[in-house]
Order: sequence, then C-alpha cells, then structure tokens
Amino acid sequence: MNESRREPEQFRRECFTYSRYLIGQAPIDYVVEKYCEYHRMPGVFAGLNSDRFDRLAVRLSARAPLLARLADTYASRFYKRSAVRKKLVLLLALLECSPPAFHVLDIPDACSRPGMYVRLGFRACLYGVMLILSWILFTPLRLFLSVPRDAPGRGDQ
Amino acid sequence: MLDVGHKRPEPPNPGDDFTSLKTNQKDPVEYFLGRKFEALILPGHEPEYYGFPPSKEYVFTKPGNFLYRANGFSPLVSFAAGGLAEAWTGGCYPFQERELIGFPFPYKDLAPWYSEVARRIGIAGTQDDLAKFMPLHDGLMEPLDLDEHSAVLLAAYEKRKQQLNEKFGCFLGRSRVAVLSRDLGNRKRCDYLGRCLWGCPSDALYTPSVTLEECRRHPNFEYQDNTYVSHFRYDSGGRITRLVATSLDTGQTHEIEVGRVVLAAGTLSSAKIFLESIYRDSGESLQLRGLMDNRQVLAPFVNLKLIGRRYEPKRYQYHQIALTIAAADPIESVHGLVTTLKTALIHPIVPGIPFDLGTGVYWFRNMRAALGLVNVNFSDHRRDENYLALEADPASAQTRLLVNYRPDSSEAARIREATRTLQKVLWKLGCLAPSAMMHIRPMGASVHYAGTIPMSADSATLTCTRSCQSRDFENLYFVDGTTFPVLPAKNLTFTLMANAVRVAEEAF
Repeated sequence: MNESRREPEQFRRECFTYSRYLIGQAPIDYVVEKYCEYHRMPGVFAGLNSDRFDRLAVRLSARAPLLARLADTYASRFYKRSAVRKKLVLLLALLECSPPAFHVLDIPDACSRPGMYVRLGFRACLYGVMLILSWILFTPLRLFLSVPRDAPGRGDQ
Repeated sequence: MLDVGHKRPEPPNPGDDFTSLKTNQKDPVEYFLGRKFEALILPGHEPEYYGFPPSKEYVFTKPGNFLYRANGFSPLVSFAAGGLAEAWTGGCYPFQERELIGFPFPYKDLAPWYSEVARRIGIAGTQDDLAKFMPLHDGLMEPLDLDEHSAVLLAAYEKRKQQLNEKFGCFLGRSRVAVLSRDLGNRKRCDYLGRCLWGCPSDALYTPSVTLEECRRHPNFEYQDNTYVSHFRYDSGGRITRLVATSLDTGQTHEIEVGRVVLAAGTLSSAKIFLESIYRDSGESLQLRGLMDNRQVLAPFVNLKLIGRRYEPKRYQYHQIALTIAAADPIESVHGLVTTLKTALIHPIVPGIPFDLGTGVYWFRNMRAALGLVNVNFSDHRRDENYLALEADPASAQTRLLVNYRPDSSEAARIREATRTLQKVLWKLGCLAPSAMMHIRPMGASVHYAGTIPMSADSATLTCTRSCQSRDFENLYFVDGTTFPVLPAKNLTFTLMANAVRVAEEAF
C-alpha cells in the first residue's frame, strides 16, 4: 500500500488511540474528521514528521494508549516539539471544542480536598515512573535513528 | 472620518453561553479554532497563555500598504472599525495627579472627562482600597457579580490587609471595567455568558465600534471605510491641505481637501502618516523619539483552597480584581489585573503543566477553578534610543516604519523585585505562583504605545500643545497615545478616551 492511501487510516488510528489516552473515550466522527482535515492541510503533514524518530514514535504511539502515554511522557521532557506532542495538543484542542468530549475536560473528580491532593500526588509519582520507563525505551531508539542512513560506505568511495 | 474599518463578524447564537456554543453550533471547531486552525497553539509557539480567537482576526488584519520592521519590539497595529480596543479586556484606569507629570495641565483639567466618558460608555466599579491609586470619578455603575475565585481572593485580602499594606505595599480591590452592570441606551447589561474573549454578543463589554455606530447615526458625521490614508500634503506655511488616500476596494488613490485633521490611527500608524507626509514633501527622514510601552509579566498562580472545585462557566470572563504594589513615587508603582480562570481554551495551557498531557489534563480539570493569572504592568519613560522612523523597503520600493526599542538598564532588577513581592503577596492570599511559570511578554505585547509627539509646555518641533495640536502643522491634532509624555504602569485606554473628549471640547 502506498503512503498516500495508508495515511487516512493511520490518522484515524492516532485519533482513536490518543483520545482514549487523553480522556478515556473514543472520539466522535466529527472529531476524527477534523483531525484528518488538519493533516490534509498543505504543509502540515511534513511539519509534523520531521525526522525518523518522530515518525517511528507516532507509529508506535498510535498502537495503544499506554504506548501513547510512554511516547508523550518521553516527549514532555526530552522532545517537547515532537510530532506526538503536537498531535496530542491538536486533538486536545478538538476535544475541548466538541460535545460531548468537552464535558469530560470540565468536571473535576468528586472527592474531598485531602483526597484530591493524594490523587494529584499519585498521578505525579506515576508520571515519574513512566518517565524512567520511557527513557529506557525511547533513548536507544532515538540514538539509533539519529545515525544517518546514507552514511558513505565502500561503494561511495 | 476616513478608516480602513475592518468589521466585526456577527456573533453566532447571541443567547448562547460559552458551553452552549460548543453544543449548538454545527461546526464548533471552526468557530473556536478557525477555518484553517489559525487559533490552534501547538508546542513550539511563544509561551503565551492565550491566543486571539478567529472572531478577533479582523482586529489585527493589515492592508498590504502598511509595512514595518521592528527591533526589540513586537508591534501590533489594527485597521479595524474601532481599532485595537476592539480586543481589549475593558480595564479602566484613571491616572493620578502625580502620573500626569510632564502633561502640560493638572489632574483637575482631565478629571471631568473621566466622568464624562464613564457616563457615555458605562464603567462598573466601586470605592475600595484602590481608590488612592485610581481616583474616583462620577459615572461608575455598581460592580459586576464576583466569580467565586475572585471572592475568595478578596476575602483572603480582607483578613490580611494590614500586613499586605504595610509590609508589601500591596493593595487589592475591584478592577474597574467598561462593562455594563445595568442597561445603558440600547446596550444590555452583562448576562454572564462567558464569551468576552470571543466577542460580547450584547455589547455589554464596551468597544469603540459602539461609539462609531452612534456617530454614524449623526447627520453631520460622514464615514468612509475601506480607505487607507497614506499621508497628507501641506503648503509652505505648514498647513495641511489634502489627505492622500487609497480605496481598498478599487486600489485607486485620491486626494481629499481638508480643513483640520485629527489623527487617531494609533501611535504607530499616526506616526507613519506623519513621517510619510514629511518624507514625500521634502525627502527628509525624521525620527520620532520617546516611544513607550508597558512591559508586562504574566504570573500564573494556583489557589490551594480551590483545588478540586468545579469551575464556573457562566461568569464574566476577564479580570474582576486589580492590585497595586505601591512605590514611594506613584509613577513607579506596579499595577496588575487578576484574572481567575473561567472560560478559556485549555490546549495552550495544559502543555505548560510539567507532565505528559494525560497527567496534565487530569491535573488541569481538577485545578481549573483554582487557576488564575496576574498581568503585571511596568511603567515606561520617554528615552531617545526608542524611536520610530521610515526606511526603504527593498522588496516593495515603498517605505516602511522602523520601530526601535531597547529596555532601560534597570528593567530586569525592577521586574525581579516586583515579581518576588507578588509571589509573597499571592502566598499570603493562599496561592502558589511558581517562578518557572512566569512569562515576561515581549515589548509591544501590551499595546499601550505612546510618547512619540508629546504634549509639552515648551514650544519645540515634534511636540504638541496641551490641546494636542501639532507644533509642526497648525491644523493637525492627535488624539491617540502619540501625545502622552509619560506612561504609568496602567492601561492607558481610558485616559486616551478622556483626553480625546477634552481635546474635542477645548479645540473644536
């Protein structure tokens, strides 16, 4: 299958996986269509996949919400302008404008203030653990993919 | 009146609140993010905490004729009907007596016009601790209903007022805002739809296009829009005879005979017309020195008492509280507007939380009602190294405006000192303001430009009389920031309005 035919399916997969990662729900068709529409805009797609590691991280992260979290956690510290992060922010922008997803972003958990502090602390600790895991997973990949593929070999001499 | 005059689009679903707009519109993404996603803020952009929505795009659209180059300055200009204040947040600060130092008239000459403007446009406010920094005037309406977070902050201030006043020189109170708390003429009172940033559908939040519409109903007022005035022609006696304007519909240039000319295009655009006119006549390229603007620092904070609370979407969206950190000389005092987070797009904010986005979203939705932002203003003074001039634009063979700005050497220390005090004050109010989240906005971002042809008691060229009459062209007047000789740490828009009415009464 050539790249242009594969892309819409890849975008849909990204949109579904990222939405489950961000708000725990699948997106409605309107959000998926808007997500794809953004990627169809001239110049956008190239700007979102700047290097080999970026492309691999997007493909990996679209497979499951857990992989999306790992890729995003890595990007949050070590690659803030990565394609994964940009696509997630794009989707967050679409979700916050669209019913019913925006309700999920508006409502806090129902619990006491001390309970809330515990929950926030727990999520912060979980982030720390995920950061270590993501560093172990993605750093070697990034180093490997940063080696130029077309480095001069014997045949070029 | 000659104006480019880009028009505000009609607000959709005027009765809908912020939440209903998302539900009731066919394409909410197009409304909130734009047809080409122009309001989408992706990682890698400048770390502003909000962007202008597509519905305000008309305010900042420039005709191709207006060219500029800037050093150390991020200029914003507007060619909208109503100008830059179409996108303001309604903060109304009268200047104090001491802040009018350099103006060739005392406070008492300006005071009645604050009251007059307040009566005309509607300003909500009250007498409180800030009255000593914002003189009271007539025409104030009762204040708007407070949102919960602002009420919590004011209650905390009341408890610790003495310590905050004496130790930190900090005073809190209600911000005065150009918003109707009761009906005025055809305009309805604020109905708390939470749509202020996207454009108030009831005109409860005043913008100058409201006054323009009133003027247009007057039989002696003629309004010609889609017209770009590039310069004027004058005779050997220094009297302006004609304006040279281009129709943006046809591209044709024409000349209009004039008696008196009042420039109100904004400090940068008025300067461009002024400089271009002299350049075209004599080939002389002047510098207008003394450009000023308020440096602004954005200080986000979390109110620890409100974590886990639900936010209130049906509220007035902008600031309801102001604060002052007083200095010995009032002109060096620091003034800030406190905006508690209510309705807003969250995607520019969540990536700033130092986690992955999943955790960031979780933290944000549980802390949203606890978040706020202080927009701190710093004063500025006229200095020769900050100037406007003309230069040739190599790409178009036209002239372009050169904007040159360099902060004074004490600025960094002043910002450091003020932000430290602010952090301590916020802590006393039960709030945490992390240093890492503070953002020093680029010079030019506050859009409080002033000072290039100042009012002066001395009869020098490139100055104005107290009636804002040019000393270089006898029938030319300025009624924008061009003529202000100093810039306290305050939004100057209300004083611009009061001064314009004063000039109209004195000179016409």
